[in-house]
Amino acid sequence: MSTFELYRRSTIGMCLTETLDEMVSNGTLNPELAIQVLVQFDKSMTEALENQVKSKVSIKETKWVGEKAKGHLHTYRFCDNVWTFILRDATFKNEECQENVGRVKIVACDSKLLAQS
Amino acid sequence: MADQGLEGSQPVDLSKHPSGIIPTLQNIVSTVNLDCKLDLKAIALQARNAEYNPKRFAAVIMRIREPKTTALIFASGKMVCTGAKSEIQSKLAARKYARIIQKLGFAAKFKDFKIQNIVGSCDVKFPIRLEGLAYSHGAFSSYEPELFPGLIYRMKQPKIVLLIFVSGKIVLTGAKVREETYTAFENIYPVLTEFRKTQQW
Amino acid sequence: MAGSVSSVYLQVIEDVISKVRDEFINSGAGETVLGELQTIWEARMMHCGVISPNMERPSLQKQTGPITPVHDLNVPPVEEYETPTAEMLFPPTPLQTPVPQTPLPQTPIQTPLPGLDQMYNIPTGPSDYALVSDSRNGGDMKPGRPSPYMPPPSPWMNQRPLGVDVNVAYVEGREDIDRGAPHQPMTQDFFMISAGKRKRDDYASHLAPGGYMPQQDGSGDVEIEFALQKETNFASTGVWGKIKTDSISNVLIRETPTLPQQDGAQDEYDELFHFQEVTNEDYNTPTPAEHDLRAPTPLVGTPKPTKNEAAEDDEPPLNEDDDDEDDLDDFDQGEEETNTQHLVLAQFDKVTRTKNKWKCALKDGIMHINSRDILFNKITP
Repeated sequence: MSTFELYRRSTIGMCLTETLDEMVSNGTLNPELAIQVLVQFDKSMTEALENQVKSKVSIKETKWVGEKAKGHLHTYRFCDNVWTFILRDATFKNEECQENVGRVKIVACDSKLLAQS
Repeated sequence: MADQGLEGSQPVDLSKHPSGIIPTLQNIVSTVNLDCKLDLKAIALQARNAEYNPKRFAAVIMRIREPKTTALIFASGKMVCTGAKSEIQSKLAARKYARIIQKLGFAAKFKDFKIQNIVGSCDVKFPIRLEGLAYSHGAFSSYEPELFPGLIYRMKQPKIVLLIFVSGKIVLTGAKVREETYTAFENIYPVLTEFRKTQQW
Repeated sequence: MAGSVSSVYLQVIEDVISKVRDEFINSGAGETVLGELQTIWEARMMHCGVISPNMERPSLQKQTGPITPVHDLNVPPVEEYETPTAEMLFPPTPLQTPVPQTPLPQTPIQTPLPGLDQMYNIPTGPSDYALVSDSRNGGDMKPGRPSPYMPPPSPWMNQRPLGVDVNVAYVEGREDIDRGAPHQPMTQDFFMISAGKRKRDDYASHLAPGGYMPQQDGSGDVEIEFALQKETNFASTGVWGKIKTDSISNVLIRETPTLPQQDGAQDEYDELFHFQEVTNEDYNTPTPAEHDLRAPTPLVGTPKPTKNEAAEDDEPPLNEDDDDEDDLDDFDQGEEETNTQHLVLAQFDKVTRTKNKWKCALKDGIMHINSRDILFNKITP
């Protein structure tokens, strides 16, 4: 099964990477094993998102009073099957909360690449 | 070029536009040679608003906001710029793209800039009997409403393709200079009036 | 929400730990090391506030080994961070090789533990992909200084187990290598976490005197819409993305009329007659047939080296006057660096653009927004 390394950039992924780094550095863990852990993380995280997470989120443009503000796509990029978007003034909303951000980066891998494997 | 965008607000020069209508330029396609080999992936990774999907198309597609255009940038250093509304804008945009490439570290030059196509449009504001036009100008016309609702008129001089719709809307494409667009429209205008559809209901 | 996020995280941890257990035992590392891994991992996550110390565990945990005091976590032996050799960094199969991650030589692990803000301060722009070291700061990270973006370099990351990595470039990308382009083709693995050592020097030599690669901005004022795959409109099967419905949805999503009305009342000149303009792009991998139909191959050839009406001699060399105004944007880097970086990591099912209107169907994502983590299954309109 192929995996994305995408999620290593998340909090949980960063924490793991740092942990592995540390353990490899101080000789507790051999690098090969550390990589296997990371690859397993890629799989486990992907599966967890697929199977355990049901919540939906919407991204809307932040509405300013008296102004029709379509939060705008500031930058996009597509290369190597990865889309990167930078949005300005976006509002994220799910069942429980709403968050406004002035600038957010979205990095997305092609789901079909996982499906193919 | 001076009269671009002025129609409606300025009296039309009837010596140049006897019909009183000046086609509006909708899209200019230009090409330029940056005269250096380009690493498309490096460009896609560094430039903003770039797309590169070599599986589908062997060029970086890049856009800028002003002038609002799209560029196709090839590894050979050739570039196509589309979407500008005037020749000047097209060139300005092409220079901006070239400059972007240059600033990314490539030895981009700006050679052989050329307007390849000008697309214009206008509205004669009366309906047209396309069947009649197609019949009497059979040598130039192709009208197959089941395939495409417009009549395709291939004018020989100037060499311009016109798309003529029942509604009276006209699209002119194939010009290298805008005068060809204007001339083609003035050539066709009397024909259009000849096949003006009289409203029957 | 926080509860469910942390329970998902804990389950991921448990899952990872249990699935690598055999490897640990077989390789002789043993349960103790595995337990230490879990303990430190969880401690770091608690520190980040994404799991709480008294969370219920999804399964029995084994607390092997004492919890290492946090301050100790960050004092790795510096020697371990020696810059790898060129051979290590650039093994012979470039496109299959993840970029080694050692751009910050001699940089010890961040001390203290980085806050999330720091962790997510991943540079935008080039570094999204290219692991260009950030030369904005003078090109060198001072030893001992916490990396603003990335976890510390790990030579071991360079090693790689078998298996396909979907993040590497296509094979087609290889062409570029042979083109003698001024830049080294940047073959990299996008999502290796730390920044790359690779090509740093080469790269820097191509930089503008100003130091860093400016982002060149593009078309403006764009609407973007994150949408479920049209399913609300016409598909109730909910199997989008699983079955090959691309072509259908493409047709439906495309707003450009493909079968124009026969009354000829085509008001949308723009839509119809920007012949060479790519007005609608579907980014799903097309079949070859679709490719032929839709690839925006220009009707016009690329320019021939002909004599030009605009004599080349008259052409002023490219200069600052040709700079795109959005360049200015590049200098608000300060803003980017000081602010929390909000980040969404996800998979896309489909991304389409029609003029300025983007539709992005994203799923299975992790967001880090305003210092909190949110997991989502879909982004809905």
